[in-house]
Amino acid sequence: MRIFFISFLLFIGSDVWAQNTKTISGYVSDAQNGERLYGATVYDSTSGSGVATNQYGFYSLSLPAGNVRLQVSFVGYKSQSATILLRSDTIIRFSLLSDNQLDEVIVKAGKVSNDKLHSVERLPMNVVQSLPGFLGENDVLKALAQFPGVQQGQEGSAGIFVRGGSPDQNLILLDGVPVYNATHLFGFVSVFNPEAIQSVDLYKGNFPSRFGGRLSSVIDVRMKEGNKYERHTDLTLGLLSSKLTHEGPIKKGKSSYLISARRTLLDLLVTGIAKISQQDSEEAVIPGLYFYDLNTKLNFTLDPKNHLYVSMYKGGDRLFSEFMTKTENTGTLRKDYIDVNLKWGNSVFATRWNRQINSRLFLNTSLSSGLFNYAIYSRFSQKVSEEGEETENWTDIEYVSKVNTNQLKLEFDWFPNNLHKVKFGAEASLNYFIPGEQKIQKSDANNTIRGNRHQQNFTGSLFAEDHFSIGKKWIVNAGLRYDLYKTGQTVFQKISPRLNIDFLASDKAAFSFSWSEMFQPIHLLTNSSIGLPSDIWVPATATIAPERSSMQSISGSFDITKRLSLVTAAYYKRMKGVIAYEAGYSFMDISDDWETLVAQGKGRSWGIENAVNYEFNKLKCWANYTLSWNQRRFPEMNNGNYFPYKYDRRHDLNLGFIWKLSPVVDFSAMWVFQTGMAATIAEQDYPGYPDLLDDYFSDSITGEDIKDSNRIQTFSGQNNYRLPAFHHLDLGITIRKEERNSTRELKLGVYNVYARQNPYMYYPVTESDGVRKYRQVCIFPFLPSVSYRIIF
Amino acid sequence: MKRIFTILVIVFIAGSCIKDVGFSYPEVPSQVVVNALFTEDEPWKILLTYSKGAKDSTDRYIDNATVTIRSATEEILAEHTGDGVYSSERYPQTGTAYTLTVELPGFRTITATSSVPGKPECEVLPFTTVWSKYMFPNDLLDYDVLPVSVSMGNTGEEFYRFQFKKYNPEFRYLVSPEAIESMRKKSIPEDILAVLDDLYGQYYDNPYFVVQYTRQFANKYSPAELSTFEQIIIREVIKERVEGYIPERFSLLPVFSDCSWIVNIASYTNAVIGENKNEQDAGLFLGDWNLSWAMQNGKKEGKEYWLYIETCSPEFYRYYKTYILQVSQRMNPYAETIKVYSNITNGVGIFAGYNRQMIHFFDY
Repeated sequence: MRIFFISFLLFIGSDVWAQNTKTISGYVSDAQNGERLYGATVYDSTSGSGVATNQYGFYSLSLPAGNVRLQVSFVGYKSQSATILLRSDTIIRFSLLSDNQLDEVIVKAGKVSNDKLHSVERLPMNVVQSLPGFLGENDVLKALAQFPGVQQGQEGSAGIFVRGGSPDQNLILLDGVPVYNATHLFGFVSVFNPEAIQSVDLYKGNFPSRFGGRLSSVIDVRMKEGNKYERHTDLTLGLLSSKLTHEGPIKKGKSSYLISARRTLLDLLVTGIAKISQQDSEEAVIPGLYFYDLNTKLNFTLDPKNHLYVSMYKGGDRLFSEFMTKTENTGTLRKDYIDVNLKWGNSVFATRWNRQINSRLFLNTSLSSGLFNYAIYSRFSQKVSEEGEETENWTDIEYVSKVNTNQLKLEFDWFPNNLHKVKFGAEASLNYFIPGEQKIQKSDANNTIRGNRHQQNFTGSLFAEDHFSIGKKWIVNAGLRYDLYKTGQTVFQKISPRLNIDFLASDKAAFSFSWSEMFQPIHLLTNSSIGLPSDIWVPATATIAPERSSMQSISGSFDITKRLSLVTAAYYKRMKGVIAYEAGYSFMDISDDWETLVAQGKGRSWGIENAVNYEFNKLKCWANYTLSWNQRRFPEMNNGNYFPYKYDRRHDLNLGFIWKLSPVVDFSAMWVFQTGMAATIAEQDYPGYPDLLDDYFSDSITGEDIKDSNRIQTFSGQNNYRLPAFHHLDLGITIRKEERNSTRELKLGVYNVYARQNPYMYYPVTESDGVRKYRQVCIFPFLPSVSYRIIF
Repeated sequence: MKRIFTILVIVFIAGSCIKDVGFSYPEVPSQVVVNALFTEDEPWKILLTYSKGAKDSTDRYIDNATVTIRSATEEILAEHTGDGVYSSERYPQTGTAYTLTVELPGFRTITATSSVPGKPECEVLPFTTVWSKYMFPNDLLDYDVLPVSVSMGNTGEEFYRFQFKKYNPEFRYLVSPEAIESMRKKSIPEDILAVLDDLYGQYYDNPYFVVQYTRQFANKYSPAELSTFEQIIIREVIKERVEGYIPERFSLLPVFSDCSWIVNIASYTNAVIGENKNEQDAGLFLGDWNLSWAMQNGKKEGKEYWLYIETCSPEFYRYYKTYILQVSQRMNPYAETIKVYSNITNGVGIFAGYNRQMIHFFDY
């Protein structure tokens, strides 16, 4: 590593300009709310030099002394120009005015520009708000699934699969802090409240070296900072949830706050009605389900060179069911209760201190903590009243799973000259896990504790990358990341090279090659990837080693006409150390040591991604198509041969448009088509040895007896069949009314317009005539929605 | 855990739609299915059938095969005795490796090899009849259990299966062909008779256990009709005394274990299994609610309690374990499907040896 850094610094140093240069540095921010803009371009037309702002809106540009003509631009904002006489190092702050347009379509997978070619896909929040939502709820993760190479898992799932990876291989960051369970409502909605989010960046390849810890993607979500100049309130009433966001200055122009809350309200009504209507019943079922999010953020400009951010998030879900049966017999009253209570959620706390050390060096120091907590509390109790005396027996079962990450990160941005933009830094994390612990307490017995107890580990990383140009045609981003992971007495280390080379063939065509290696010292125990909270995070151990991947990709971007663009890419990814439950086991087998229930194997995926965008006046259309293969291999499954991954979708097509019918009406539509999931379907069956197993099963969904449930089923291979294709059409319309001091929006939408019955899950049954069938459960055949929003 | 999730899943999917999935199954040729578990106490018996496809409704027996069992010292030709069963009067020998060969026109030669492991040499340790509660982790249900400790002896065998059985010397109830015919004459519908016909040869402690099979027709017949049918059935099932220690007089009882080397895969199998790496003892729980109740109320039932201990060949053990896993997880949409182990080359099924020790350890 030492050799690497010395070589690296010599290389940078050799390129330092000899001539008399001065440095202009500063921040680019939004003129209306003071929020800093990431990715804005500061360009000197005199010298032809330019630079983009970092995540905190900071830029540094070294130019020859004399007259410079600066142009500052950012997507969705009016460009700003300034001519200055540069005599010494200068700090200039730019404030850009929004032009209130839908300037970047969600699906635009990179554009032929010389700075951000393919490295990141930015999801504009105004576009997220314009898309049709699920029950009126616009969702960040579902919007990301529109990108080529990003696939939605299945009906109702917000889990995404990036270039053949699984959902646990996505590093989802909220203000730099990992979020372990990014979904609500079993995966139907993500935890990111669009009203509180400033930006969402997706990296699906060419990972910058500052990111690590996951194999397949980085989703970098940044919360809004809060308006530094004016107070604003944003209120939305919807079928699924209602939201309130309030922001404003603490000290005008210097500091601000933002607070945003979201909660489902329908459950209050449903649970209340159930309680009242079943008050005197002999059998009662009281169900309930809700989720909530609370985002808060404070930001302080301490002085022109120091800035402090404090952000917090707390969100969670609660699902509960209370069952009661009452029986009365000859003076004895017996009540049986079953209370099941699931709670899960994330808590995130982050402080970030930005310091401009000098005109060319910027430091961000962050201290953060993230917690994911999942618990099931259930109580089975019986109360018996007899001759005025009441006795109660009960069993309490508590199941807990937790992940806690505490991280310190130092991240430097060094602008040695205009050709090089260097990032380097270090991070250290202390992680605590309770993979799954069950406590059982009974009224008449001692407590029992079993399962997987507390574990602790340490991760440390060093990273450095240089973004530099070779001539006017070539742009290189080269980096290295060193990861150290210590668990118990076992240490794993990995040096991961990252390389991206862009070639700008012309103004209308560019090509790119990238190579990334990644390291993931954490696993997700899951069978379903449907967003059940029962998906359990576990740390890599001495026996279940960390996951590793290597991915190569090439891509080309073409501006075919002024309005029509095409981006095409091909990738190949290999993964080692991926895990799966051993055949026959699932997350329901919690009482065992999880390491004995999983198999570790390999994965590979490859594919071609295409994104076509067309923009004309107020109409923006996209067509994204991915052709891909996704396979896994485990020694204990499928005779040790590769087999299709459950979410191996050969074809994935996303079509959509946003049409601004008038200044006050937006109309949008999306159609999603995916090849059906792979599934293991039995082709033949035969009787087991007579009387070895002699029991009958019933269908837990319908209650019907299953004939010949003890027969043995045979299948030619793992995931040998395809479920029916997944597709649905969603429509949305937004009617906006601008008033002097407020904006009102009415959103109408329909999810799954033509009521396609996409499978949520499936299971086998045998008919009374002995013929075997599979049944599927569909949950969202057709869902209209309405929401009303007011911003003032 | 399973119970909790079943509850949650039911609540969650309320209002959803359920429909059959249309798969186009390819025509997969049938395979020969061998079912043979052998031990030194029983003569050779091998059942041969064809596997069936998803759209077939019934099994087909194989009656034209040539079945040979060979060891280093002998060759046995098993004769077809009907319904796909091939038998010989000779007995397997402990410790001898046997190779099964099945020749069948149109199929490649089917072979399998296994042997009878050594007989268990276990001993039930002295115990007191102190009942306690055991909560089975898979279904979170409490069971009244009687702890029974077993000394494992020194056979060197690795794979074990344990079962508790109750020997009932009293009268039993039997559905006989004559009873079926008599019921037919008394207008019991044919669909109910078809179900009862499947019960032929099985003994029940109580005629109401037979009647319960009519409840699956609750949607087809009125409660009054069903009640009439039940009365007829109760009168017609035969009450008879069964002599001797024959298998039909033993009924299985729930067994559990919290030993680290013994596995409880599913409660309904009424068996626990384990891989013994030099373990000296096995801690078992007998889960007989009736016995618990009888002892608490001082009502002697006059029944014998037996422990069945089986040493298993590796083939039997793998087959049994994967078989239970496949069946028990079939209704779990989240578990990957497991392939049931088979040691049959060019076919499926099992040809495996085991040995058994029966210990009469308690009377009440």
